[in-house]
Amino acid sequence: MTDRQTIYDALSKAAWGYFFLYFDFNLGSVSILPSFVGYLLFLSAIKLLQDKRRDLELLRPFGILLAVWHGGNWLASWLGTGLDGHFPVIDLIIGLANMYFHFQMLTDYAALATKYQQPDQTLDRRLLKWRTRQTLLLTAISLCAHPLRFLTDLWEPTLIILALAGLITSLCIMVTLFDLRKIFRGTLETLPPT
Amino acid sequence: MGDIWAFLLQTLTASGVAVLLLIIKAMFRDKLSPRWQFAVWGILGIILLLPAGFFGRYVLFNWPMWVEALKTALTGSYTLTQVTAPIPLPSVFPPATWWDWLYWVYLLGVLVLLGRYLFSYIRLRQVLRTSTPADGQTMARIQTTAEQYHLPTCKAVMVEGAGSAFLCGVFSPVLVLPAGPQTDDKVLLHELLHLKYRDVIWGLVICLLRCIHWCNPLLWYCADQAGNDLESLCDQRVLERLEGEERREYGRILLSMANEKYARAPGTSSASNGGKNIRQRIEAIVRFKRYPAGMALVSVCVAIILAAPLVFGTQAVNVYNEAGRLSGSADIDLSLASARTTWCTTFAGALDTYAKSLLTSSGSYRAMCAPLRQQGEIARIMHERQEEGLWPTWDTGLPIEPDQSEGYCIYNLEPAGENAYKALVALKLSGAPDGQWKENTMYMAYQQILVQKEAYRWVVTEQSGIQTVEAQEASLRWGIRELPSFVYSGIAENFRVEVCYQKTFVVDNTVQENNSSGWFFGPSTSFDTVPKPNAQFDEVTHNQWTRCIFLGSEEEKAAISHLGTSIIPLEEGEERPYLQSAGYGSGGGSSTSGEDWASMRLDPGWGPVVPMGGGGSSNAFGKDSFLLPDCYAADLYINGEKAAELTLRLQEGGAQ
Repeated sequence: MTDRQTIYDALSKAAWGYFFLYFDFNLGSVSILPSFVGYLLFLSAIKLLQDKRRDLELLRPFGILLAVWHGGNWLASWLGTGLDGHFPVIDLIIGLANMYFHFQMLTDYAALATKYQQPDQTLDRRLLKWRTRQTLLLTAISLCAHPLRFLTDLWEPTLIILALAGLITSLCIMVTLFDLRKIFRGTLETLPPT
Repeated sequence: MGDIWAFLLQTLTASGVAVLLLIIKAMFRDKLSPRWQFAVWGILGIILLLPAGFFGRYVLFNWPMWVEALKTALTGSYTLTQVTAPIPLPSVFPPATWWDWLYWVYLLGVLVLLGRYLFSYIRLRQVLRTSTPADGQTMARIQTTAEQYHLPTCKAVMVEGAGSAFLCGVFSPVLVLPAGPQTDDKVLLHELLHLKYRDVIWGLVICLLRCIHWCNPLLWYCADQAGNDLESLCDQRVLERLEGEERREYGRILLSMANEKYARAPGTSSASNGGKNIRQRIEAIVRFKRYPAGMALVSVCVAIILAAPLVFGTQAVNVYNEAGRLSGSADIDLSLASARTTWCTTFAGALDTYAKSLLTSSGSYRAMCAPLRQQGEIARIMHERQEEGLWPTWDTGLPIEPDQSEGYCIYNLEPAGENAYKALVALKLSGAPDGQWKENTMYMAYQQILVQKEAYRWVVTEQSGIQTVEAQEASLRWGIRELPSFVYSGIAENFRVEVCYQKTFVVDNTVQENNSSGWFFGPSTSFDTVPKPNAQFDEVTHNQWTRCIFLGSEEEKAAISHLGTSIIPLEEGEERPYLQSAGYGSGGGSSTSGEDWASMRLDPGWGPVVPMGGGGSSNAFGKDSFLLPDCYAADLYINGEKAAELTLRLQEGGAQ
């Protein structure tokens, strides 16, 4: 497989990973687009890109942890239940791993974009912008669950607004990743020198 | 911390956080910077400084419940452990129990360790006072290093036998250099950076926390780790100022210190902190990179997400209450421990909890909202019942089972001093107390109660025994005329005109039930009997009705065939408005302003009490919900003619 094809495949998997992560269609209580599939796609993308971005390798343990957790959650949904909220300490650890995982992964994809995009393209900046927004939103959502809930009754509408903003952000991330993928679509055997 | 249980609660709470931090730090060891690795210990610092269990909240695990359960198991006490300060406070009473003695041993340990640290610091300062000041050449090198990196300088001394350079003191710091071979410039840079960032203060804070938690090895381990992270942070600062080969040189210098003797003294910071720790620092140096700007953002966000649930804690809301299934004595004590540590944080929450303890006979629910002085009695009753083979409930005083599906209602809630309210709790019984069921009659039980703040908990005390009353079938929330009400009265034309006024306060306890027929009939609802210790009132209803009591003679009575009233609530001093005419015949009405009017044809043999009808309204609970009308303006109509204009005043004695 050529470098171009490898990166193209990795970015495809990452973009579709976000699709599985943020879109939910349920049959009864069971999702037919389970989140753990998204994490398996991310892990596969990491494996493909580990030679290009060494930092991505650091994300593998977090990716496995998140895939296992979401897989467990999905299996629990077959029994009509879920894991979220039952183990607050694990929820917290998963929340932190999730935030760092996406932050670092998008940072690395932005670095790839910087390296390979055309001079007139700004995909790297777009990715970094949405990455930063996603991180801030995840933090704000987490604050809604604790201090805001403690201090004000407005936490519930705030949470809904933030969740909506989060959905828009993830859609934009997905679209940007598909745009980035286009750079590597083609027939050249090797990438141009950078 | 005033007793051994408070210390146990504080140190266990901190231990839980310490374990979590160690896990999180291990997860992010190769991902986030040494700056983050050290800063995150600040969360543990905050937890150690916040009194554990404050406002009925716990951190990660319900430590307060387990400490209470342990205390009850070991001492038989049903008190509530509260941490008032994060530092040990000496007890004013001489030790009376083994647990008091244990606390004194703990206090002694704190003092001994503090004394030992103080002594070693004073001795070190004495040695430094008599040691040789650094020579001119060394001072010049220190000066040059400081100028090169824009760092402050301080007094420097040479000490025979010092293993490596270190900084000592907060207010008048001294840089201590080993006498003999020249100390490397990079080590000087390391110590001057400690000086610039006043890292010695962190060392002192860590020492103090070691003293307070001297018997907790986990926190000592964390203190060691925090000290090491402080050194790693300083290494990071050094590396940020060095380039290329200098960085490798710095690593080699650290490596050379790996076998040096290591003895950390309080109030000092040293580049050398033991072989194992130096190996970890060298690993960090190998990982070193200038972290990109974005990393600061994710570092802060990770710290915030981590800190938020730990600092704000979790409010205990679900009491361990296996109602009717408490299988043993320990189970009952655990349930009561859970109840004591699940605080009612609002007066509505306390009233809701008390009412549900009546509805369910749950002793745990009663303990949630009972003053501390009553906890032992509740426990005694529950244990006795359990020993007799009965359900371990508490003694509600109800003559028969209440009707749980109807719930309860709080009547006539009014302030009774600072942080105190009195009210009446009313609930419907499942049958007639005497077994003589009457048609169109419901049997009510009610009780006067006082809800007040005990420290930070809202608690309920009974002001009367349970009373029962027969009433006409009606909704609890829209007023029951047979229950006590505020009475406004005035006398004219041989009639005493009375307006009875009730207020009901409602917490929404409706729960939707999923059942198979719901798709067709719509979801059914039921009353939630689980207490809501943080509840707020959702609705207040105002109900009033008028009655006339004839005070005249039989001859005067015979001349009256029609009676009518018209009333409206008034504020004191407010001008009397024109009142709606009561009309003639039988009929009446009401308006949203609280105005009521009614007239009726009197049957032969009427009186002496003539009920004239009434009405009500509801609105959301607010600050004004406690206010009562100052008085009522009333018109009395006899035989279709306005006979008198009255002002009805509130009778003394409250609701009756």
